Amino acid sequence: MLKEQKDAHLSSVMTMYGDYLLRVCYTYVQDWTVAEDLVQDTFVKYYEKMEQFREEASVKTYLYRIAINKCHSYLSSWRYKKIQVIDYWSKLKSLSDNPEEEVLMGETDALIVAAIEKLPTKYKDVLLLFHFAEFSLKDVAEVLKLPTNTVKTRLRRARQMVGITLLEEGFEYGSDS
Amino acid sequence: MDQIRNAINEMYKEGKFSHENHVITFQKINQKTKKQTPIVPVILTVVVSACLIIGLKMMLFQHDIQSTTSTVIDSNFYPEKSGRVKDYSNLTRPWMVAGLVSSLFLFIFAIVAFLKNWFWRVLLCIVIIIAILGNMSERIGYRVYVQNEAEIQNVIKWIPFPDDVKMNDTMTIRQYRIGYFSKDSFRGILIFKHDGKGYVMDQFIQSKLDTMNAIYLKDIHHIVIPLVENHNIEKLIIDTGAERIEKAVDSNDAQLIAVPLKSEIATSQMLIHAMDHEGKTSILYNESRIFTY
Repeated sequence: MLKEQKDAHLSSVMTMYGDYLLRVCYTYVQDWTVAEDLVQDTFVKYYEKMEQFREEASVKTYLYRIAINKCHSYLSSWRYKKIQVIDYWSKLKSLSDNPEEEVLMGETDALIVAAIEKLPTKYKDVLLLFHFAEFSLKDVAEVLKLPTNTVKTRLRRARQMVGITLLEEGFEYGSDS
Repeated sequence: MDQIRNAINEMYKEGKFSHENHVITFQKINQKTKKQTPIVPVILTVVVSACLIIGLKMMLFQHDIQSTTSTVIDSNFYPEKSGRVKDYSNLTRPWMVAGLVSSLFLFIFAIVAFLKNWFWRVLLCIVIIIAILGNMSERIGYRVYVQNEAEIQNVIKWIPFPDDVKMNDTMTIRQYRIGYFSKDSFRGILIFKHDGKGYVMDQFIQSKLDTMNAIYLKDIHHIVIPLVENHNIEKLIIDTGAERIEKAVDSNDAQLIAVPLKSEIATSQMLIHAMDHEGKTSILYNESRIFTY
């Protein structure tokens, strides 16, 4: 494949999946700059392996797999842990309430998103891939390299956890449908 | 639309992979061809690994600090050897084994980390391996072989004893060689035991009193009695309980007297008497001052 063709293809893939991948990554890392960085790296990696993909479906699977792996790596990195510690101390220093956050938390979507953000990573993986990326159970299993039954179990628990979290905050959600 | 998908899209609607991000991605792709691997950890790993290999080479292959010589004197029975060689017997101690096993695991992990391009982890592993092996090498001692009195005198440099000692006497009884020396009021006895290659330093006895310790060589049924300078002893009487042995003393010099015993004895029953020129006897060594080897 020529470089111009590869560039053009990457541009179209970035346009098609960029926003979604960015939002998925943000759900994990809670930082737009970092999320942008991770999505850029995802596309860089895709560019290197572009010749291997012929089907659109495999491109989507690959992109989400790489993006999620990059998020996992970031979350286990020293850089992230250092930021966590700094955030923790800054929160301790300023214990005052955040009015903006309170306003956001009053909205339904905000409650759902906040509940997802609080999920442990392994549940967040399946929930985002199934609901947000709209993968089938089989595809989720393939992306995460897990047995389908494990994916089912995790998805059910993730939904329950989101439901429980929301219930605690006064909102009922999380039917196992 | 799925409620979760809808909620995320609604809440993160400001999250757009902008044109600027497209440009940065292409810049990264172009830079990627130039910057293949992080150079700093690679260089450091190479340098540190070189140090490790050199260190290992020094530790494992340079056995002899001094040149060693070997001769066979008594029909291949007790061959002689001199010099100083590394003693690796310490490596069988539990903590040394733990160190070796840890180093091995770290080395395997370092290889895995290298294959996964975790260069800082590789560097960390190599540094830890060097620390462990360096510490172990410090604990590996020497085996010192001696052939004659001059070499025994040299060996005294390696033990905690004042310099410029006077060698009083040396003797070799089968697989044992004993050196007796003194400096002012300090006296010392070095015991060398034959290890199949030569007589190697094994035990050091020191005393600041007028008398030393008698040495009972249990396996060859011999007792070695050190006498101090100007002892005025004419005769030694060794009473083992089972037998009584008398041994005449030739001179007043500090010396070692070796007395063969008929069989193995219990030192608790042993008394060594000294008889002076007037015929007076006194206890020279009792049970507490007889060292069983």
